[in-house]
Amino acid sequence: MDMDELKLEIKKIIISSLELEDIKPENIKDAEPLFGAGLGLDSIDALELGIALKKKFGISFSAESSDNRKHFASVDALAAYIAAQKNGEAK
Amino acid sequence: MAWTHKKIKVVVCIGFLVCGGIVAIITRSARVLTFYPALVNLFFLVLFGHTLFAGPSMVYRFATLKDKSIAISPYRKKIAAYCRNVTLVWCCFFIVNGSIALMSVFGESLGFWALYNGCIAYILMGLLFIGEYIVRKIVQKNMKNDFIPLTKVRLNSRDMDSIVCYQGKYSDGIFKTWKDFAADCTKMRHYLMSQQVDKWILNCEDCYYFYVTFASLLQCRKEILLTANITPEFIKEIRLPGIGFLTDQKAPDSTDIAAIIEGPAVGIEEFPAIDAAETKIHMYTSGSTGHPKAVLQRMKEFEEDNAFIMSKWGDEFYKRIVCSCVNQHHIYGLLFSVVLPFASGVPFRRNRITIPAEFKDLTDTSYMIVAVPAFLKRTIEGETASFGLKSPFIFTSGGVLTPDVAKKTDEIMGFWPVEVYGSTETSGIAWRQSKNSLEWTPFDNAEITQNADGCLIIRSPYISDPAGFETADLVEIFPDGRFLLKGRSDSIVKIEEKRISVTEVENRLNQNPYVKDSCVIAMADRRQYLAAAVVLSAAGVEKFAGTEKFEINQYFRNYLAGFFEAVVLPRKWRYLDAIPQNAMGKRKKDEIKALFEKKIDDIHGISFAIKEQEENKVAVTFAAPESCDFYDGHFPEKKFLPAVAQFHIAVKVAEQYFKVEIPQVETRRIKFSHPILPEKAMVLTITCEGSRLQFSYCDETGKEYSRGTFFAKERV
Repeated sequence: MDMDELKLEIKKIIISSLELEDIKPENIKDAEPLFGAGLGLDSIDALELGIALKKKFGISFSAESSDNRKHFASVDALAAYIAAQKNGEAK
Repeated sequence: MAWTHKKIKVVVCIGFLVCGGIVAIITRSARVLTFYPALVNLFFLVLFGHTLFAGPSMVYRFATLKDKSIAISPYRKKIAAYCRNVTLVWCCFFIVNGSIALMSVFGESLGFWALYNGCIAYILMGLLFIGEYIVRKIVQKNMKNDFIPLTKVRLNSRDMDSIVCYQGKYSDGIFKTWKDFAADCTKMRHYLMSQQVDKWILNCEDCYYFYVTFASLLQCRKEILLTANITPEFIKEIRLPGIGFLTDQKAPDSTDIAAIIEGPAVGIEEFPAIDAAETKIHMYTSGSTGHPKAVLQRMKEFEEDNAFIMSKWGDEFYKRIVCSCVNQHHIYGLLFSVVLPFASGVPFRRNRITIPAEFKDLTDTSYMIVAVPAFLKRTIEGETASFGLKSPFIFTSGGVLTPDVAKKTDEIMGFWPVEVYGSTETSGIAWRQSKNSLEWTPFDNAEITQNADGCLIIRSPYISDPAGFETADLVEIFPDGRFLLKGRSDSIVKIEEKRISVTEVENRLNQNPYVKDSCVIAMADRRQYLAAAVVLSAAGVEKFAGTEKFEINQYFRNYLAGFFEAVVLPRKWRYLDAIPQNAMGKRKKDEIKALFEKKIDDIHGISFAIKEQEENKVAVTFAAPESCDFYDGHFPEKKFLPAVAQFHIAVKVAEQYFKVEIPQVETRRIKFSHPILPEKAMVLTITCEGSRLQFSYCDETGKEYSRGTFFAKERV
């Protein structure tokens, strides 16, 4: 799966798992923050999104919250983290 | 403290007199003793006289000591003026009497002194008492003619040609008089007595017909169910066996009020007495929940409330003619636009004002306008020139009138409205005129406190429960007793453990220049969240023309993010032309909520309505039409919904609601109890526990027809 496909997949999961309205995958910018400014997701969303991504990609997130905040910063960051985890498995 | 001061003065005076007496006795001086009557007169002159300047007058003080109701009587001022005059007369008496007593001291013989002070003075005093008593009765009778509550009226309470109500504008001269009222009540009572019905639903648009019927029902000791809503479903719900239905609205299975009142005359009979405490009036609140809720009220409290309003604003009423745009089936409309004017002998308008433009005709005389904020807002909208009304007075209640609307009402209609705060359960509680202060001033006899949640509790003579009534309004009470309303407590919702007032979010949105109005409500399906319905202002429409909805949402979410935490930012947005509200200006919460609810798409021509929704449970109602292709091929002689179809429907609903993927189902995992026939109204309930989904089909009574299980792929 190349990076663009992965990012699109992540955006679709964000929209479907959080039941976001009126938003299409192309509305979410890769580098834009997901929380706070930008998409403005909240802490509950973070939990739900984590569960959905875990189910979809079989990846786990670290118990260290500062790391998670980094991974969840943007679609770019999430894609990088997921790709890294997948590569780790492959090796 | 003031009281203590006065008491000290009185004690000093009495002490002075007693000392004088003792001195006279000790010195055995007849000379000193002879001054005594003059001295007593001087004492009373000072005692009474100083109250003429300091007020309230001495006689008024005695009167209110004996009769506490005087303080809230509509004639409080007239009584006070009368009492002052009586005090003045007594002062004159003390001067004259004291002077004669003084002169008698210097007379040649002590005989005249003894005769005058021991006898004549007492006779004069007695005559004055009797004379005043007679005058007082005459004055009281004249006053009583002004305020006569419905339960106290007699045929001779008013002149036969006095005006009860008018049509159009007052100067049109189309009136209903006391005589008409008496004759029409007689007709109505004859009809009611011919019927074996003790309870009547009353709905009548025409205020005159309304009050004739209302009065007659009470005079015949009937219970009244007052409702503004006469939709067949509602009437069906409240009309239990044995309840009659009186209306002028030509509703099915009802008694036509107009036909009775316009029917043949039966003469004029005396009004039967009404025991105000025994009356039963069930008032249906418009309620935002959609379920009818009745509050039982009595004329006793209504009339005490009226008397209080008259004690405060009676002068304003007596100078004007009442016209109302408020529905008389709700408490405020009932009390202010019919019951009160009738009791005060102030003519009221036969028809409610239903279009704002009607106000523009009311320039012939001075009107007392009974309004609600929603109506005033629509009346002044887009108006720039004054209507030229003649010194009107405007009451408003039922909702908060924002100061800017109040100000514009003043410019256009010529009066800054007086707002009355109250509810069906409490009648009036407090008032304000936002020109002077935003704080509400409680009515004199209302006692205001707060419960632990910060909600207002009120105790007053109009609330029969001595514990008072707990409202759902959040308040801040100041040391002087005035208070500020801080929104409804039911506006406080919890979104994932965060407490938030939806009113507060609405207020922030409304402050945005691109927003004209908004309504924020709490939703809960897969999670709890807020949803916002927004009416854009003209500037907003211009700004967002051609903008994607997602970006408009984003704009407002970013704006609100400046005030609130992310959890409470509305997640769903609807842009409307207006916030749905009923005629009373109350928002239709159910209708607004429906805008945000999830929808289940039609399945094979069957439509679904969501009945209940929770994170892990959904209930939908449907009725599979006869034309539905689910019946094809199966049991052509007797159509019913086969297992395959029942599974298919449950799976499709579950997929849409829970966003799950269901690969395949085992149709043997179903248990049938009854066949589901075409057109049968059914409720399908699905619960989701992890990947296990269970469904059941029941009819509307809850009888189960079938149940089954299927599994989903991992929930995404």
